[in-house]
Amino acid sequence: MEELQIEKLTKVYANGVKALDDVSIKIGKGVFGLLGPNGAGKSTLMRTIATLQNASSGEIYFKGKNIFEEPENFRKKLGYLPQEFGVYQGVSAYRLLDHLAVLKGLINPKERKEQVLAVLQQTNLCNHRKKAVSSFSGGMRQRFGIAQALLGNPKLIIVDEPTAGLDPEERNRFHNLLSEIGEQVVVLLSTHIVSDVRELCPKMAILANGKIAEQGKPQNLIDNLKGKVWAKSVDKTSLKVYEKNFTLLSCRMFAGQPYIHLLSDDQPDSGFELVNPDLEDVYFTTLFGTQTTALEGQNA
Amino acid sequence: MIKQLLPFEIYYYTRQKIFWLTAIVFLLLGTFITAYGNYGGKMVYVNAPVVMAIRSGLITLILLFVAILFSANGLLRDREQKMELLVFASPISKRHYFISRFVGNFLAVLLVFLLAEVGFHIGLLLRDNSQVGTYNLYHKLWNLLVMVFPNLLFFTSFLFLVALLFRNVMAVYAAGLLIFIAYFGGAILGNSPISAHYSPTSPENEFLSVMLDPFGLSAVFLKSRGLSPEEQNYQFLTLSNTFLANRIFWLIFSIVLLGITYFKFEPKLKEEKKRKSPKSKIEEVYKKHQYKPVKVITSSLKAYCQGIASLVKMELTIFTKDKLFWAMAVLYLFMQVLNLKESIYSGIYNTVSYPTNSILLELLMENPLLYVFIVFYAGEVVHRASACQFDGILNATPFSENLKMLTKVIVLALVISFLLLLNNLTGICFQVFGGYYQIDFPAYTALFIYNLLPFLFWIVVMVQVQSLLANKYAGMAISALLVGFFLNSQRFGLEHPLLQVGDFPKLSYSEISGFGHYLKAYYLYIIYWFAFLFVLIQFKQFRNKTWFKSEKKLVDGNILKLSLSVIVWILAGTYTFYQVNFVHQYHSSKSKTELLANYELAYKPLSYLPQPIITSVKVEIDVFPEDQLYKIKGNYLLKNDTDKAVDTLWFNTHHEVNQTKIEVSETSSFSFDHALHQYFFSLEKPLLPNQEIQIDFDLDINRNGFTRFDSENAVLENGSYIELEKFLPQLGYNESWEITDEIERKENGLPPKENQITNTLQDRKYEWIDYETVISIPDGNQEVISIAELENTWENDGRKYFHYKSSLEMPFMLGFAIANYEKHTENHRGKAIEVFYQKGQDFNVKRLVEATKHSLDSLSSYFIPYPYNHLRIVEIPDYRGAATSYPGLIFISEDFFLKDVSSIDTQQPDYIYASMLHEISHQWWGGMVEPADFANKTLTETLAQHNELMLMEEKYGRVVLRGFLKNELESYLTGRAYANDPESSLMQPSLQSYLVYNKGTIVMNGIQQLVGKNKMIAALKNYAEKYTYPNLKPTTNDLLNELIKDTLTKDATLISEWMNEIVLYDFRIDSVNVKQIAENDFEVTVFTNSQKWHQTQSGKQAENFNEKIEIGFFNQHPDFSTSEDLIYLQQADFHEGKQVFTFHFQSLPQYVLIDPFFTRVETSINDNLIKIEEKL
Repeated sequence: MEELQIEKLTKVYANGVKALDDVSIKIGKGVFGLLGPNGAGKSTLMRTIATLQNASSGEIYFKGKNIFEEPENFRKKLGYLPQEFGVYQGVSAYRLLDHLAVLKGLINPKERKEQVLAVLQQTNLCNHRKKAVSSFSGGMRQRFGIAQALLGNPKLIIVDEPTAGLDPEERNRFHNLLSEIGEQVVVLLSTHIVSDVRELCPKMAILANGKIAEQGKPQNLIDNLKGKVWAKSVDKTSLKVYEKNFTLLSCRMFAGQPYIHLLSDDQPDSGFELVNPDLEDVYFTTLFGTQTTALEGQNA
Repeated sequence: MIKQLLPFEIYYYTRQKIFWLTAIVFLLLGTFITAYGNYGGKMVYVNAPVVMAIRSGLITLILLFVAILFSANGLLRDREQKMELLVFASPISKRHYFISRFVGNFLAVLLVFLLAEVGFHIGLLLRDNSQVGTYNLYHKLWNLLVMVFPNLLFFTSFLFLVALLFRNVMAVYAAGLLIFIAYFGGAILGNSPISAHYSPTSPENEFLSVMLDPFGLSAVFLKSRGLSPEEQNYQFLTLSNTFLANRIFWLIFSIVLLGITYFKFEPKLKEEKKRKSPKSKIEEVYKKHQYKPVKVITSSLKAYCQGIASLVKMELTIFTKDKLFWAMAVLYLFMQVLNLKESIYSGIYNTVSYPTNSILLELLMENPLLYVFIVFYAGEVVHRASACQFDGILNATPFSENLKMLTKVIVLALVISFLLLLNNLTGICFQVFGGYYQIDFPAYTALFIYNLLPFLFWIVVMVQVQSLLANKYAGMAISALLVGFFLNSQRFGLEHPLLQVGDFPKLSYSEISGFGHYLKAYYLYIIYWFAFLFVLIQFKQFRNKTWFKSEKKLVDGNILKLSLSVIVWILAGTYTFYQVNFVHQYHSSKSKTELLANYELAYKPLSYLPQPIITSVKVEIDVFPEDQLYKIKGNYLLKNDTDKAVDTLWFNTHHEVNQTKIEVSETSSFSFDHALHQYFFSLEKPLLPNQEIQIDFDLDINRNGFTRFDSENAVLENGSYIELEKFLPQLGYNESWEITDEIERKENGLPPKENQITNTLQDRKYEWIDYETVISIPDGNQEVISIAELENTWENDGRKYFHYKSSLEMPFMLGFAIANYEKHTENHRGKAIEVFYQKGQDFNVKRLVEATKHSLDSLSSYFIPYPYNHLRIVEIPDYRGAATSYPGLIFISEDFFLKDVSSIDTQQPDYIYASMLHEISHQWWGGMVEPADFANKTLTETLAQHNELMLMEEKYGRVVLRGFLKNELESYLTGRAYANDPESSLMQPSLQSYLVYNKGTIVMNGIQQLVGKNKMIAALKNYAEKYTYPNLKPTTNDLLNELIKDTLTKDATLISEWMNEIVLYDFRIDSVNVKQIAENDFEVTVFTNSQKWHQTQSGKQAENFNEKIEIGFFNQHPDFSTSEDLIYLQQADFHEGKQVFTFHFQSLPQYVLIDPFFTRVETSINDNLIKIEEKL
């Protein structure tokens, strides 16, 4: 069942910047990945869903109810981890979680204590609960962020770029946590890291220039590219030629030589071999697509 | 590199909202203080050199706050905005970084100052031309170079040092505040010329206070002291040696600060003190907590309360850790303690006060610093979460926005309450340590609430302002602007109490009358303004709700709340408006002036109309203290004592009389002018000379808190005081209503006021009366104390009646007071001396009686006998204007009863004794001998001052009275510098206290020195006998004639010129030489330089003079001398220019002083004194 429904959401800021343009997505239980480059409008979308800012037009429904009508009621079901956040100087993790728990409506002291300790344990912060959050390292702070998002009875958890700046081990732990939570509730994960989505999300969308450029199951999207992605190790001088004549999906250095992926229905030239496309190819194909559309639009 | 860096700095500052905000604020500030400010009297040009220097100095002082903001914002921007890494990693050299940052900061502050200058020029255009002098570029540059640059350099470099070396915003705030505290605290404690309580002592002290003033204001203040308005207008300011030294010292100081900063500063990241993380403990073992979602309840009362409590607790925790908060709290207490100490433990003749409830509570009502506090912390608290980026998490919680705002209000209210409790505690400590244990806790509790309410109002306003704005500094600036504007709205032309947002009536406190006149109205204003706030908040809610398309239910609830608060607001407003405008006649100060101008224009031409005089007054007065009103029913017996027939009776009543009904029998017609309170009755048969007629009148006077408090017409629950003669009908044209301010006269088309000595026969006739009154009050402990003899008292129908009747004819002076009194009676040579005082305030009763006996005895024997068989001393609440003398009765404010003179030994004069002498001598001067013109205070105040001094000298000797005389001379010099009107002579009618009190004292002292005490007494005795009732009233000419009669021609000339002109002296001791001739023979040579001049309209006219002036030698600083320390006093012939005097002593005195006892009006006191030092 679709729990969160975003319909024709548009956001234009006071300075004229159009951050979201006619965005429509339907999201069910599980972790939904929102992939997009920096500045695509991911955080604007997240903040709008969290009812921290209003939309210029369009509606959002959660479990059939328009969230803008009674935002405070909607927030009861919300857990939100902003992209960047700070905390009050010198307040301990336990104290701050307890404070937020009260504000989230956990008014039974015993239940509250139980849950605060539980989320601390869940995020592996129990040993640090008496330390000030302001003194936490990046990963610990991020885990604190997810801990506070779990407080109460969240049915929708929004995590905005949660893995940026985490070391591989922390990221791994974080992924486990998210997928565990995703079994019961809707988790909306925004990221610009393709592997986050690959590892976690049964469904995804790609946001570029404020528009939904692509959405669906990752595997379906990958399947669409089958037989179209070609790879070759080239020298630096010929790189420009390929860039000019073909759709260059990615260029990685491999042993000092550029190793490129091209999008093409036929073999571009000899030496190129067909490869199994991955999510990254999907991502770049989509981005490239929106760019060309935008260019064409300009030319027209 | 600097070429590129500096423009970026300027670009950076001018891109900041805070820059433009302060720029606008200073532009307006410059305009307003120039257009509407008051600079030492209306005769001084707004752009006079001294005024410009003082204003520039004061503006730089305020710019200190701008510099704090700019330093916090600009100098620490890298750190605050996390750019520090990038900047320090760039190849920018330390020198370039340092110069560009400092110069940029300095220029930004300077730019704001220049905008204030632009405002100044706009302000000049708004001023009346008569108050603007010619433009002078030299002054402008002088100001910029001498006042502005060094001052800005001083604090910008100080803040620069703190910002660069500490790299902490709070440290910058604290450092800025520190400058401010140190400046004002130091000024008050250190007797600096900028302090209101300044009294000049010695050249050394003066030098020190000028040098230690980094803003250079002391020097300018000192320079402007004693300058007449003309001199202030035209004299160029020069850099005297001390002033120059001051400027150079602080310039060097600033440069040294910059140097230290440069060498100490390292363009590197400041290493954070990393707290060692505790060694990882062995994993605690506790039971596994299984995460499972929990049901949440967000919309129950319990949830609201818990949420609010948690938010408040979180905020308070942060407050307790906030060092700036504690610094400001300490500053606040420090200022409060300073203020209390100043007010209680200092006073004329070193007379201190008992720390009574009356005095302390009154002082504890002043908390202006807390406005700064809430302006700042409203910004901090409202933007707390967003400042540390916690807002994303916080606002995504389902806790209601409105309740979050409510918690901000609660937190700020709690913090202010905490400070106000400390405030109360300070007062209580003063009482306990002062040994005064009758602490009135209920009054303290009430004080706490009355103090808190206005702050609560402004907290709500500021929280709203801050929540509307994204930038907290913009919010602070707007909040400050709002508070500043509305708490001074009268100055900006908003005078109606319903328009003065958040300006609640100013309560006062007295043990007699509690919180006084405004208390009942205060509650209504509270309702009115808080209802207004609710209306505003509801409107804001509406705006917010359209944000999210709310359900209709919510909107309906809001409409209900909105309409409820609108109804309460309108009801309270309507009632207040009815009271202010209909029960009392409301006039803005402008319309009041217009009214008075109309009065003069319409009725002065009729002033020739002959009017009878009042010969008998009979009144019944019912006073209702609870309702703050009284009703008068009475009649006059009028007698035509002119030689013309009177065909029209013309009455007027005071504007504070709410209802007037006058009945005259046998009138042919009558006409009333209600707006001006004028009542005309044409008589059927004219009143022929010497004929009498009775008229009746009915007056209602309502003095509730919706009208401005008049201390002469105060009806209070306890401690009512009414100067009745002012509120009974009067006859004819009332000259005292005329506008005296010349600029206002000009604006209203009136000719300049004549300042003539009254001399018509009608003016000079005494109009004494027979008086009879019955005053009734509700049953209770209170009693009525009036003039005249108490015939009888009785009770009837729940009221008490007091019947007073005069035993002999007396002046038309009819004051009475009503309170719960204790009584002390003594019989002294057939006269009953009665003191009526408040229970528990009997400290000074004996002292008052002692002074009364002394003056009654002396003055009766010197002049004419005291006529009444009683003298009553009656305590009234503490109003400005210490005491008033009525026939046989003196009203004295509570203040006198609370002064602590117990520790002053009997060899020293004290304030209580001196003031009592003054007031009792008014029984003669003003009582028995009334001036022909009421405005001729020379004949009342100057003579009373003289008698006070004379009797004090009799008791204590001359030396200790130097302080009194010095104070008088100082007050005269300050008074003339700040006068609004051209200085007149003592002969002309004047109400100016700096003339009739201060200059009068010095001149009388001079005259007595000249002719001798016995001759002086004889002259005044003649004067009193000649001009007392029933003879003609005197003029100043009559006094002068008596003073110069039988004196040497030379003395007579001097006396006449002192009385008739403005004569000023300047004596100076340039140096002193000491030569030891023999073992017991020191030759002391004093080199002096003297001048005397006459100040006229055309300027100074120097006079070649030759007068005998005293020169005295002291063994101690004369200010601290007693009679034994004066070792030699001689009259010497002084003339203009340089002179050399030689004296011989057996042992060397310490100080030499010209005119030690202030017999001349000396313009510069300090250089009359020099310390004698033996050169080795």
